[in-house]
Amino acid sequence: MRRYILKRLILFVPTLLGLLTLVFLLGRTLPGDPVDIMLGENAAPEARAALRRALRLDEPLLVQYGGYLGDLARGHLGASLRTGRPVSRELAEAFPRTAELGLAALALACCAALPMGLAAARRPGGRVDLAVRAFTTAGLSLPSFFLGPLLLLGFAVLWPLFPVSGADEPGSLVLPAVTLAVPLAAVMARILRASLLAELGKDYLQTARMKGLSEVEAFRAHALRNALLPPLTVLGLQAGAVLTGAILAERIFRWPGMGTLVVTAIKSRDYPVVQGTVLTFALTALLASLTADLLYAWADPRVRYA
Amino acid sequence: MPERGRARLACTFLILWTAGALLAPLLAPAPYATTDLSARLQGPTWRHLLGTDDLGRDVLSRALFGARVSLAVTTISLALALLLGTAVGLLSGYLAGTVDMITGRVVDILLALPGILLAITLLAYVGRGLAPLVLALSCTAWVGYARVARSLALSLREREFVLASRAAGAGTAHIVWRHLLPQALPVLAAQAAAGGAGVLLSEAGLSFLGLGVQPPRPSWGEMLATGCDVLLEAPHLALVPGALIFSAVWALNVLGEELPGDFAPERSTRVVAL
Repeated sequence: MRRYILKRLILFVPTLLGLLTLVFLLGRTLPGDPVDIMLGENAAPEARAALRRALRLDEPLLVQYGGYLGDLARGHLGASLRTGRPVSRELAEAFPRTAELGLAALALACCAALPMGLAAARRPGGRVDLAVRAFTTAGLSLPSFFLGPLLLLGFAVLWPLFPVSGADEPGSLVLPAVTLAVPLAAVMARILRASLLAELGKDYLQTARMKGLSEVEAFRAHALRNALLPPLTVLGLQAGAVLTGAILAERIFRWPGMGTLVVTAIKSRDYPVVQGTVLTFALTALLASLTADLLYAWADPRVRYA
Repeated sequence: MPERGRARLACTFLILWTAGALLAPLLAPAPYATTDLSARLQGPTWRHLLGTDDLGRDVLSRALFGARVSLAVTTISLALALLLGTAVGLLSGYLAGTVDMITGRVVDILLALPGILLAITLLAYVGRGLAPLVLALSCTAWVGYARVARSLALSLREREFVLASRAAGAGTAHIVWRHLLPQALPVLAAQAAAGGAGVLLSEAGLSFLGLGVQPPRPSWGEMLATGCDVLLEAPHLALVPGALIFSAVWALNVLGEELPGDFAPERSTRVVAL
């Protein structure tokens, strides 16, 4: 187990470094003079000189790169060109909003996928199974930015249960979280169903039945635990998709999170904020997949002892 | 068989939307950018079959011209991604060693970025418009094809026909072009159909965020964003582009599920036997 974790952590480092380098290089390949792009051509010479110093544009590329990594290590992300506030402050305000949304969606998806997968696998080809399969197919093809407006029309306009937009009222989390949860629940229910059916046909379950375990006991003690592994992997892979889905959902429901922050920053050419949000998004996705891998190792003894 | 019916419906959708896109200048009842502020947010009428948007522009015309942008961007990005992914994947799988290690690391890093985040990042720095959009989408999509092509090349490089060709003095380019590519193409083509759904979805998502083609040029995603802003007054503005995106993505997904079987040699002989 320790060796596996160590190996996984060592792999994490070059990936992270690669990402940081990619964002750095993109920032330096801006066409034209970055100072012109950020401040406009008519900015005061003092402001231009200050920004030039802040961006280390007069230094060689490698020195710039070293300074950039040093700044990041100390948590210095620069200041927003639009509001003048430190990028870290902007991120600290927006990130909890997106995390709240993402975690709510993850929880909702798990709570929905588990019973759906179980019910569908109980009698394959039955009515429940068909209904679950119809849901998963629709859930996978419906883009979140169409599902969102549909939910808004249904549950905020025609039948006003929830607020239309914003994040200030208690019910405002519901619709964006459902929008994000539906595709995730669809994937997980589908995979859980398939893996349950695969496990139920295996020899060890036959043995368990032969020992005299009832169907329910055999299922709970043997099949379920093994069948939960593939959905767990998918959960880790999908965590990144939830993050990017949040960017779209935030636009639909005017949720003031990281997605809103990055889109506004791109449109106003606020490069320090763009860099900060992109790095935060990427780091969160990396950590999510790392967590999923570790969880997987914990749940599957074959990985743990390998 | 319902399966065949599904595939047929999917083909019908794609043919219809492609025809609409190609014939947009003939079919569209009005220019897509002509505004008429006295006719804002109208529902369907005889003059405007799908109503008008927040600037009084004809929604049907915008949907037709939007199909051009959405489908053209998807096709071009997909083709570029396929080209780049196949070339990089086959070469790194065949050459193995250092080349393979370097491309492998790059691919891993790009795959670590979720979904359209890489595209958003590229657009943030490169700028917005048609060309940056294609660049961002193909840069995101090529990785998947590179992975598949690489694993195919790895499994083929030790096969007899490749060894024989190498023994006869053939160079890397010849082997990759004449021996590896024909083997890899069917697999990659099936991948591309399913990948098309992903690219179309990304394009719509980026346009939805306002990072795709710039106004007044329409695309389905951009129309949907406008529709979301006036959802209370004119829900049809969101429903029309939403249904178009949904149907196109669904159709490509269905074809992606059906195609791999049709491309596999066992299946095609069975089809002949039928």
